[in-house]
Amino acid sequence: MSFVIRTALKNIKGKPFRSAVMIFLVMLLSFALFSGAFIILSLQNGLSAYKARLGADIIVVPSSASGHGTVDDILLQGITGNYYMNKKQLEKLDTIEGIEVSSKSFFLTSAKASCCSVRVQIIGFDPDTDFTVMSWIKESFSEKIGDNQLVIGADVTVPADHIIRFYGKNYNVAAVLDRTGTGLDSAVYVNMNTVKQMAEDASRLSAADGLEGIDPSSAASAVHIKVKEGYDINDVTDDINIHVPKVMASSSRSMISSVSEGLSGVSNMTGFLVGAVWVMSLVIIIAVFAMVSNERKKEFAVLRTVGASKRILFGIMCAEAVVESVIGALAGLLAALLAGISLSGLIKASLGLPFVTPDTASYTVICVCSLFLSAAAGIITAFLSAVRITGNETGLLLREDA
Amino acid sequence: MELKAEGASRWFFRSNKSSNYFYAVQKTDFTAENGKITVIGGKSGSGKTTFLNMLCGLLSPSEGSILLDGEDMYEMSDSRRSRIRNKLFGVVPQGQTGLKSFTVLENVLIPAQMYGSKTDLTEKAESLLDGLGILELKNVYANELSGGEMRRMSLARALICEPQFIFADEPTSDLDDEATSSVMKLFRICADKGAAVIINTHEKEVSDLADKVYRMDKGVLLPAE
Ligand SMILES: Nc1ncnc2c1ncn2[C@@H]1O[C@H](COP(=O)(O)OP(=O)(O)OP(=O)(O)O)[C@@H](O)[C@H]1O
Ligand SMILES: [Mg+2]
Repeated sequence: MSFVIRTALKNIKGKPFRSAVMIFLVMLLSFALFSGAFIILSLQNGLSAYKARLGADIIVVPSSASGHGTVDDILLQGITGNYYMNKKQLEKLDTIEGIEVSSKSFFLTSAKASCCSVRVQIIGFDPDTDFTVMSWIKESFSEKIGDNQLVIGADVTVPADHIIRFYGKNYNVAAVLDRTGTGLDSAVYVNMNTVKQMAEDASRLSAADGLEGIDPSSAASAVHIKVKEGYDINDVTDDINIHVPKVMASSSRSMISSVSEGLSGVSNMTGFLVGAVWVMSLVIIIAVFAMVSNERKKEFAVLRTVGASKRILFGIMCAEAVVESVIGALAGLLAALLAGISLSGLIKASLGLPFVTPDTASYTVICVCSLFLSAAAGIITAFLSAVRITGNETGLLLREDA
Repeated sequence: MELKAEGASRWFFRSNKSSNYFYAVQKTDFTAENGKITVIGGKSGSGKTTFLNMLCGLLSPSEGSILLDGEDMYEMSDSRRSRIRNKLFGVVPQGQTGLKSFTVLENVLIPAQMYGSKTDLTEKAESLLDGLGILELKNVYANELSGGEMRRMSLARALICEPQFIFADEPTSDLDDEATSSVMKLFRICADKGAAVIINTHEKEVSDLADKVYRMDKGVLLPAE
């Protein structure tokens, strides 16, 4: 082992407190950087998944849905409920001008299913008109979803035998949807025949409320609308709100913009926090270097008297910093990874925004970046302090007391 | 080899009535004598340390030059000057100069290992420590040593590479008589092998054993009467 490296390691071991402080501070740097990047990236992923998932230009729900939150909340958090538009409303809706496609869905708030500890939400949709659900099926699934088949959200556990029981009947899991980062990830999608069947079973078992007098074939909980080329989305939305009684229509663009506003707020906040941690840690690192520099000056002056060149001193200081920074950066990364994995559910829940954790490639990129940047920050600070110390004449340094 | 000071002086900033600087060492001519022990005495603050540091390449003169075989040491690159200090010079600085994360033996071996030496000088280091009476401390960390023990350790460190020029700044200031005489014996052996030994000291016992004695007086180097 070369003299430089051996001396650096001895110094690290010989000054455990000094080394620990340095390692800890670099650890903070990489922890902050990684978790910040993790949160911001997850939010961005969430937004694009949400945008793509919405698909529709306008979403219409009955006014009675407002007891469950705004349309945004309903779609964002996946709060579905037992609210329905009747035949008259739907017929009126069909007369509105400028609608290219409209696709109805029927919500059934389920009882506990055999597979799930939470209540799953059953959403009946029409595969013939659908343009929002099937495009999210993960695996290639060319056929249309048939009767008694389930398409499930990413958070619903798939049983080994691919069978989930609802209201006393078994259903087959046919496909899994991609993650959206919203409550929709815990929903189960079925076609209209199936949801009708389920609704009947539910009424018979009195396992669902609010279904009295509701016929799934002529009612709908939500309608996704694609607007015709040449029509203004806001005008169509207004038309619906004015002409169709007791419904709320909302343009998804306004929903997306409100989500992305909330998102950029949280992103900015996160960025600010990361910046604050960095500034603080770097200031402390510089202060620590200044504090130990007297001790170091004497140490280095002695090495100079026995023939160490500036290059050797530089080498020793930098080798120390490299070892400490790499250990610190790795430790911070590890801590952040553990925290990210174990707390991402909690973060998601407390933010109330679409949150999709990064894929392996992005994970790798932010790991490498936060490792590299925080180690580099530690090394550069050490380097600057080395420049300051070796800039002095040894004969002058020797006079300073350790 | 020949080491000379030619009109070398050094001033520092210090304000008083007439000026804002003063000469710690006035323009000085000096030649290190190979094979001899030279002692520089003088009051505290007279400029002994400043002068010795200039001679051994650790402090650049304000005027004049320090010449090693006719070449100005302070015109050399830092790595060359450092290499010379490592191989040809043995420096015992004033004050406590142990590297605290190293043991006594490791401290002594530092100069030999700094540039990757092939020969193992452990035995030589041990015999030096033995000669100075601190062999039993070889595996003790330097921060556990007394002042006198550390002084003797840095002496062994200065001598490990068999330097041709030895600069010792008050090497015996906290040693008892017995240790002082063993240090002087070592210096004599080095001088007999041809090294130039230059010692700063206050102590008469040391001057008595010298071949040549100078006195520093307010920055002026004078031959002692
Ligand atoms: N870096 C410096 N800056 C300012 N003044 C200095 C500096 N180094 C030395 N001096 C001054 O120069 C003078 C000579 O100092 P030096 O250390 O050479 O004395 P010395 O003869 O070795 O004294 P001692 O016997 O106490 O070691 C002193 O007055 C000291 O205060
Ligand atoms: Mg002195």
